Parts: sequence; structure tokens; C-alpha cells
Amino acid sequence: MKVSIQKYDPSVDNEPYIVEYEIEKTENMSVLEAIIAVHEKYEPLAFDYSCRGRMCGRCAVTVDGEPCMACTTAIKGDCLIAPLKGFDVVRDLVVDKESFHDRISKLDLRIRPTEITVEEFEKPIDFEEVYLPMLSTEYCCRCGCCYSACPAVQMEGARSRYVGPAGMVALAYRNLDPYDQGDRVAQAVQEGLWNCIMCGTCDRVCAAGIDHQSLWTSLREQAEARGLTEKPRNFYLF
Amino acid sequence: MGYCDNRQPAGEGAGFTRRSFLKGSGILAGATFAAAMGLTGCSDGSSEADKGTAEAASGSDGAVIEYDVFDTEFLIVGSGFAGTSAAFKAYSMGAQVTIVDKGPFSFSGAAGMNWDEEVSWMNDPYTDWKNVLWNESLANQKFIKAVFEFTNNDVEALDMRMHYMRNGGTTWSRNEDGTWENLMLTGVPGMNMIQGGFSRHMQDLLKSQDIRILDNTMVTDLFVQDGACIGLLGYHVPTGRYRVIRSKVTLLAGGGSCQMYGWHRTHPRSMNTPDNSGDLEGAAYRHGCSLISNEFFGLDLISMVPESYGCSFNSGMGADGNHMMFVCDKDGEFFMRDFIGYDISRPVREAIMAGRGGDHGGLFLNLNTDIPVNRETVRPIYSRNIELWKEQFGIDVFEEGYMIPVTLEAFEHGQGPIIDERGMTEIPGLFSVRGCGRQRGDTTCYVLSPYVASCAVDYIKSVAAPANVDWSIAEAEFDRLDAMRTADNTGGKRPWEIRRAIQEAFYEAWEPSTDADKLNACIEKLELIKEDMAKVYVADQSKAFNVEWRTAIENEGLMVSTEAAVRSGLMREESRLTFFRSDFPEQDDENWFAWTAAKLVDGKMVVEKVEIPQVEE
Repeated sequence: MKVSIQKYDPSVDNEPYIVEYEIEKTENMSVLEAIIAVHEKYEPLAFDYSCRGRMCGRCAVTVDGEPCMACTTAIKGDCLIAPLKGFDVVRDLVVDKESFHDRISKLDLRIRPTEITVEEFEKPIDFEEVYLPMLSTEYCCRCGCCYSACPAVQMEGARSRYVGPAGMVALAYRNLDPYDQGDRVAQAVQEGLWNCIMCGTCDRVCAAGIDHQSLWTSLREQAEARGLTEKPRNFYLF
Repeated sequence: MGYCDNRQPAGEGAGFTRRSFLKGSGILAGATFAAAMGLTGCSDGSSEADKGTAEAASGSDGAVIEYDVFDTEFLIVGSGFAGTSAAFKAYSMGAQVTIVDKGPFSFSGAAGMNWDEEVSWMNDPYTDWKNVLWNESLANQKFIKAVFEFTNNDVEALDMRMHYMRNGGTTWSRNEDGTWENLMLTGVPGMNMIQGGFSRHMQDLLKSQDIRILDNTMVTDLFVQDGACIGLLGYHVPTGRYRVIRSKVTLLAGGGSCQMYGWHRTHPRSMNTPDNSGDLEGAAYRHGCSLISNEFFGLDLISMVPESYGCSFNSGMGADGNHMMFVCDKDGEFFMRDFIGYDISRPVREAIMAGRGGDHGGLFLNLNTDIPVNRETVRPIYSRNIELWKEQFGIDVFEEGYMIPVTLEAFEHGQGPIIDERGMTEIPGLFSVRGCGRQRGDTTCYVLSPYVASCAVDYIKSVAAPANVDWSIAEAEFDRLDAMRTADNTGGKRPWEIRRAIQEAFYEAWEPSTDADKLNACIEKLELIKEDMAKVYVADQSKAFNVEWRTAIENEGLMVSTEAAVRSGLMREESRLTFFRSDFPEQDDENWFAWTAAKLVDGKMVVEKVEIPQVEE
């Protein structure tokens, strides 16, 4: 099997380049295993992974342009493995997600002026309408696959103020959270709720299986009811 | 195609600014340092908040080695369950806190797996300090009791559910009527358990506080001067910049290492992450700390398929102590259905040794029974992978006759440097969450860790800054690391080959059971591997995210961690908990109710028996 890997060490190379390697395809081989095979058999690669189970997001790469988790994605045959698009490359397959993560973390902070009591916590919550959608968003590991693939974030030659699917998931989570008291609908609109074109790319690339479009639909209904239907103004001054 | 298309002459790394300082300028820079580091924040080193004072020294080969200096009061290594709760505690007590994490903050270690945590809570206060959840037979009883007193036996404060809920929140598992789930499976009367915890929100909250986070920073050594720990030494993984982090007090909370537990295509037979490679244990040991609980691991059954991601908690199928009804032998007999207990290793090993296992060296899970696969019978963290397997690899676990091969995997290693009843190691100024003699880490570190943090904050008051910081100590370490990266050892073994040799030697000696012959043979192999390590070929000289170099450095800690496990195991002539010697299959309290402590003496590892501190009644 021929595996091509995009390599780039910004401290040495002028620009990224692609190297093709011949590796043996093993049964049930994942993309991560192919990367490790190249690293060990041919030459050192910069790559990252931790949990091997789509839970930490660190191994996310693109395979023939499609973002995926290297650990739990089967490698089908000859392909090009490259870093996630839309992020600065640290080296080879490793990208810098710092600011991406920081922005989501801020949106995830619960807003509430009083302490949660045990009694409050022990009150039942709606299983179908609240618990199940919250649980599904819990599995977002902020790998960046959706952000990298989202056409509404990564517009041709420009970026929008849209936080992207993963950030919007954090807001949807807090909007559902029975203990959160922030105005998450207003925040979602500000972060680009109406920028999404509902193309379903995030649903397709999400290793956690999150149903983003249902979450957006719920947020949009709440926003519409309040007449909040604008996209955020872009950054430009002129 | 050959190795290394980016080898350069030592010290000529492109893209790096090298500012030359006069030797000794570190003292001056250190004095101006507080102003420079008044800023805090979460950063990868690229932002202003993250920049320390730049220092430089001449390496042995004449090349300039530059490093950044940071200063803090309370330095914590690790941002997992223990590290975050220690940080919250120390911060709430008014300390200036800096967290160092080897990986990206909130995406490393066990807490960086965005998973389904299980926690416990009680109905009533404890009736006796000895019954606390964080006690274990081999634990330092003085420490356990001190932790108990610290908690005031406050039921609500000990309620882990509320700890999560109040520090960022999580959903916790709910029943269909919307009430919270109570598994009642702890086996302890009055003790409850719940699943569905996600610690990510707690880390988000921590990030928003005035706590400095130096992530992607690997600790390679302690900064020890005149016998006291005055900080840590290491480097920023993405850029290769060396870092000195000075502190009044340092707390090790990096988690245990299970990286010696064999190898299976992309990982050891362990859910433990590759970041946990024994760096801190190795550093503490080199500075004279005794490592204990080396021979004790926490073990679970986990799938070996799909091979690319078997042994992973998050994408595999497993059987935790409370989900044993699907475990069977090669003939399909469900022999563990009546088993109740935390440690499953003994019956599993006995079955394997009796020839009831499969060719993969383990047992099986068979989900094709009359028992439904649901939240009651299989943890959601596993059952959600059934679809993944089918979609990616066409493996159908419900196919007639299909049995999932599973094996013991190490989810925890007890190892830690001996701590006293305050949590301080044998080195003044160095505290550790591990090292009280417990065999495993678990969510009770939410209790142990704040206690140790509070003791460490108290300790700050008694610390005086060194009269003269000896920067040559740090510079010698950076020189050593640079030499490892740049040495021309062509023809030597590459770091991953050495890693694999350690893993294979250990696993062969350890599973499914061990004995004196296997352990002695393993020690011989480790000695040979050490020779290879001395001439390791780092086939990549770039300083940018150099996996090769990092693996080589990590191997040193992993060797210490592994050797300590093997030598301690050889000394302990009994079987206890997950430690199983076929030549001494019984527990021997008369002779072995004690710690085995591995210590560096005259360049060699020496293991000795140490008495466990008890509370006088």
C-alpha cells in the first residue's frame, strides 16, 4: 500500500512537501497504525496521539482531504495523509489548536450567580429533551475535524466570525444545561448561529456522532422567537 | 529513502533566535523575573503571557543553549484529576499556581480523554477513618487518617457528583424518569456510584482562573539544589525551547505509567496514554527518592480487536468489575458471572493458566446471549463502540458464534515516590499525590490531592529562596538533552526500538503470571537494553515537535519505572492484589505486609523492605 504523507518542519523547510512510502497493509489497520509504520520503518514523523479512542482528538488529520480521527479510522488503501486544514502546522501532522480550544473553553463556562444545591441537582430533568441531547454533546472532544471541514468557517479566501460547529456545540450544551442561567441564545447568534448553511459536513466528519443540525435547529427556533436572526458583522473596518 | 532529511550541525537550528548572555547572568535575570512573569494565562508559549526570561549558556560542544525561566509559588505537574483538584485548592488558598502539562492542556492523560467517568458518594458520614474509600491495606495509615481529618468527614464535600457539578458541571447518567442514576454496585453499604462524568468542564473553569498553564511542556528533571527542590527543568515540545520553572513548592500529579505493559500495534496493553511514560518517577528516583508500589497495577479486561485500537478503553469493548456476565473462556463458559469485586485479575489469570484462554493470551466476551446489552450490563463507553467497529472494520459483535478476544490491560500503576503524612517526598519542597502506598489512582484523588496541596501551601511559608541559584545545574541538564538529540549514533537503535524492547521484556515476564526465573531473565534483558540506550540513535535533529527525541528522553524514565516494578516484584515473595507470582501464589502477611522501595544507591537500583506507617491506637 502506498501512503503519502505531507511533511513540513517550519524551522527547516520553506514549504510543505509530500513523501510517498510503501507500507504493508495489515488486517484492521487504522490510519494511526499506518503513520506509526512510516515513523518506525522509514523516517521520523511529527504526529500526535493519546487515547486511541476518539476521545482526546489529538490524532485528527486529513485523509485524502477528509478530516478524521487517525486512531479509529480504517485505512482503505493508497491515500494522502495531511494535517488538518485551517490550523497552523507545528510540524508534519501536528497542528496548533490553542486558540481554537481557548475560544471553546470560554463559551463552555457555566453562567450562574448562585451555588447549585444538592436538592436542585436531585430534581429530575427531562430525559428525552434535555438529558439525551446533552449527553451526545458531551462526547465532543474538540478534535477540530468539523471546524477544519466547515465551509461556513473556512470560506474561500476568508474566514467568518462563526465560531464553527465545535464552539456552537458548547453553547448548545449550556443552552440545554438546566443549571446554566446565561443567555445562550443571544451568545449563539453572536457566535454565528445563522452563518451555518446546514450542509451537514460537521455531522459527516464527527467521530462522536453528534447531530449538529438538530442542535442548531433548536437554537434557531429559540432565536427566531426572539427576532434574533442576524449573522454577526464581519471584522473588516472598510 | 533514508532516515532524517533534516539533520544539521549541532547548534545551527534554523528559525531560532539565539541570544547570547554572559554566563552567570541568570542571577540578575532571576531578580527581575517577578515583573516579567506577573502575567498569567493559558498559552502554548507563543503569546506574551507565556514568555519567561531568556537565558543562555554554552554547552559542552560550544553551542549556545538558550532557555526560558519562569517563576511561581506553587508548581503542579499534571492537569488530570489530581492536578486540577490540587490547583483549585492551592489557588483558593491564595497561592500563585502554575501547572505544567506534557500534552495540550485538557487533552492529555486520562482526564484528557473526554470519557465517561464513574464516581462514588455516600449516604452518611464515615463511622471510622479506616473505612474511607481512599484507604487500602498497604497505604500509609497516618496519611490516610490525616486526609480523613482534612475532609471533616463532610458528606456533601465528599460527594464527587457535586464536585463536578459545582466546578463546571456535567450531565451524569440519568434514568428515563430523569432522576440521576445510582448503580449501587460499589459493594460498600451506604456507598453509591454513578457514571457519565466528563471532566472537560472543570478544566475549562480552571483555564478561566488566574492560574498559569504551561502546557506541551515535558519535565525532564527536578531542579534540585542543596538537597531541596526549587523547581523543574524541561522543554516546550512544539519548539524544543528549554524551560526552567522555579517554584517555592512543587507537586507531582502526573499519574502513573503503564507504558511497559507490552505492545499491540499502536500501543501497550493499557488504556494509559503514551504521555505517561514515567518521567516524574524517573526524575525523583535519580535524585534519591524511593519508589514504592512498583509491582502493583490496576487491571481490567479489554478487547484486543480491532487490532489497531484494541486495549483502548474508549474504542474497545471491555468488562469492568461490575460487568462480568459476558466474560467467558474459549469454550464459551461464562465462569465469572458470580464474581463481585474490584480486582478481576486473579480469576482471569487462573483461567488463562488452566488453558481456558485463547491464542491471544486472554479470555473472551460473548454478547450473543439472552441478556440484553444495555446500560445495566455494559458501560455506555463500550457499547457505543459496537457501531464503530461495524462501520470501520465490518466486525459484528452480534454475529452468531463471534467472541471478542479480551486481555488484561493495565489502567493504572501504583508507583510513586514515598511521601510522608503531609504528602512530601524525601526531597524537601517536592510533594507528590502518589507514594502513600496505595496500589492505584482513581477518582479519590479528588480527596487526596487537595489535602496534599493544602499541606504544600502551608509549607511555602517556611521556604526561603536559595541564596544563589546555581544555574549550572539547569544548564547541565539542557546540555545532556541537547547531546542526546545531536549525538552521531548512526547504527544505534532508534528510540522506538528501545521502547519496544522494554515493553516486550516486561510483558513476557509479567503476564499471565510471574516468577523468579522470569523476573531474573527480564532484569538481564533490561541491563542489555540499557547498553543500547547509552548509544541511542535519535534520527531527527530538529527541535520542533521531535517525537524521536522525546521518545529517547522518555525511555529513561520508563526504564526506571520498569526496572523498579521487576526488581520489587522479585523481592516480594508472595502474591497480593494484582501482583501474582506462580512460585509464591499465596498472600503472606507475616512477611510481606510491607512496602518494597526501589532506590538509587551508588549508581545501582537497590530494593529494600520498608515498614508501613501505622496509627497507634
